[in-house]
Amino acid sequence: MKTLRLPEKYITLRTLWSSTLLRVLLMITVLFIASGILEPNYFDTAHLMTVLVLACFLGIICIGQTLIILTGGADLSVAYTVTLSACVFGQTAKLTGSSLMGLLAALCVGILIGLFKGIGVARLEITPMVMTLATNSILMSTTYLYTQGVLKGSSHDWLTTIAKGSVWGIRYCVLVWVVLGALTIFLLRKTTFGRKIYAIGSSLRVSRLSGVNTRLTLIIVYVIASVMMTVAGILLIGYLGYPNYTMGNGYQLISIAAVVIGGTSILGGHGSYLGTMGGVIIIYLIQSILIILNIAEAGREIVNGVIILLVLFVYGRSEKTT
Amino acid sequence: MKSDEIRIFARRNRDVIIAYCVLLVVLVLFAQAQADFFTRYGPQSIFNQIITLCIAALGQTLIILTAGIDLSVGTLIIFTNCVAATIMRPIIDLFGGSLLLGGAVTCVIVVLLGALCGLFNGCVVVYGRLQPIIVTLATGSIFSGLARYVRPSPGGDVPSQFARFFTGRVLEYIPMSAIVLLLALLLIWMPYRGRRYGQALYAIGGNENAAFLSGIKINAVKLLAYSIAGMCAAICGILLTAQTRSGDPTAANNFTNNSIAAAVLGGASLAGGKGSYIGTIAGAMILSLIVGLLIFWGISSYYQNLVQGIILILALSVNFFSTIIRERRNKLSALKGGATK
Repeated sequence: MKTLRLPEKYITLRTLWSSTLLRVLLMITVLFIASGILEPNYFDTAHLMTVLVLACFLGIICIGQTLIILTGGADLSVAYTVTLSACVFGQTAKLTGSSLMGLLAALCVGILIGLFKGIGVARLEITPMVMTLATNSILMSTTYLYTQGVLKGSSHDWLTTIAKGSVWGIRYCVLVWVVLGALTIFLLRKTTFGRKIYAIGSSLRVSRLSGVNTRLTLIIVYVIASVMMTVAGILLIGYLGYPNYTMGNGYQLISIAAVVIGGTSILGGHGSYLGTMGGVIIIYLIQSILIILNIAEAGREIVNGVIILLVLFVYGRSEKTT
Repeated sequence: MKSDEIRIFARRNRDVIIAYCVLLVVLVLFAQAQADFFTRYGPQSIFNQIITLCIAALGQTLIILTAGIDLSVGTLIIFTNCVAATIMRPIIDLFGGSLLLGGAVTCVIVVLLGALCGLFNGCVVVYGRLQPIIVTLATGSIFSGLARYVRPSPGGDVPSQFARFFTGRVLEYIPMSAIVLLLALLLIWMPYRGRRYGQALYAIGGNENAAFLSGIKINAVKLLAYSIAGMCAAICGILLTAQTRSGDPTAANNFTNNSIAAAVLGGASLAGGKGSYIGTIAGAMILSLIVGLLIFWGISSYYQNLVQGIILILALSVNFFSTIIRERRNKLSALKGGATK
């Protein structure tokens, strides 16, 4: 019996709408036009660049968050992974007098944090959210113990240049984000490692039975994620000038929000980093609209929450069970 | 026969039993460190330290049982705390300065408000078909904004009698906080667990589809769970108001993280369907008392989070170590069996 087969690339409005990336793009356009109508200056490329600069720190952090969420976890230790690595960079660079040593020390700390989280999740089989929650408390104490309550060190020339300098109107740190982002997309789409990440997110058990070394993969994912957060922390020092204890706190939950707004399923196995980049930009477009509207801190938090909910209502809803 | 029953009980409730063993150790250390542990002040100070987290963790436990997670507990507590501190004096004046009536009405209003906020969370999760973690993250931001709206700056007028009522003692010996905890256990958890709705929580957490197919009204069960969780956060907010005698919208509190940690320490699984409030109480007590213990020992408060984190990780690695021991034993017995043959 012959069955009628639709052509493979049969595009209807419905299939278009079901593409998450398109929805993210649409949302960005709507928000961008809305902010432009409210404040005409916002169509300016210079302003666009400031939004991108603010977004690039969250964007780099979200590389890690996306990888972890794709494996079916969620990282609740963003805050102090970022802060501790920034503090380590500042203090080591000051003690040794060389910012290269600071960079190396901070990256080592990032790798160690990643190994710790990864071994906890993969070997001890602790739920990722709890493991990272506990890690966050440990890192918080470690930060205070390491600095003894006095933050030392500051940004270095080259770091300030990366964070604030620009070439043809494009800031270096945005370029860093784009390069790291492209690498991440390549990693997820074109390598077996990337496919393994999706497989683990869909079903840890099935992928282990299919011969994937799930433990090693998970540990590498956590190490990459933590190193990305470290990089973001170091760049943040360049941007802020000095490390401070609360620099990472703002990124803790918003990083999860950005990933989910970008169309990645919080349950794992579905999503892309390109979507997350869109999600990060959406978050900062919302912030800039709130700034134009000149709402007080209280109102801003409320509107922020409401908009995140609204965006999620537009997409990100699960299928209806019947 | 009897020993089999005990063994089955021990295997089923292993996490809870471990939690209580750790709690026992902490209490013994506490008794050693605190000079007035065995006077009437000892229990009072202990229960005052643990009560807020114990109540906040009750709500968290219910939500974790449905395989969800509530990241808005902390800010909802702050919000209700701010509301309570702000409306208390006007309401007392409204009732002609009657502290008892005014205080009671304030508590009822705040608890209803909390239940409403919880219901809002539940509605978005259930009817919006969104993941609880991301919903409560967004609503948490909303609650925090509302708190700042109600109380732009820290402060508020809370009568000292109100504070003394909730932190003091009844009949000379019994701490009020202990009574509140007992009431939470007897009036909220026990009836809830014993009824259909409580049992349904476990079913939903175990397998939502299966629960749905067995005719459980998933939406109603979840809405009730979220409402009660909101109510618990409000009660915690009231207790916090009594303890600090003010409302502070900028207060950084650890209730969200600690309530999750307490539930997990008490044997709950974030995958849902496993856990109980009895265990959670032990978890909450351990986490709160550790802080006091470190203070007694004169250890820098910098270590506080470190110790809490390590305890959490160690408690959860028990599973790992027990499987390793079992595997080794199996291997040994297999070797012996081979030798005799």
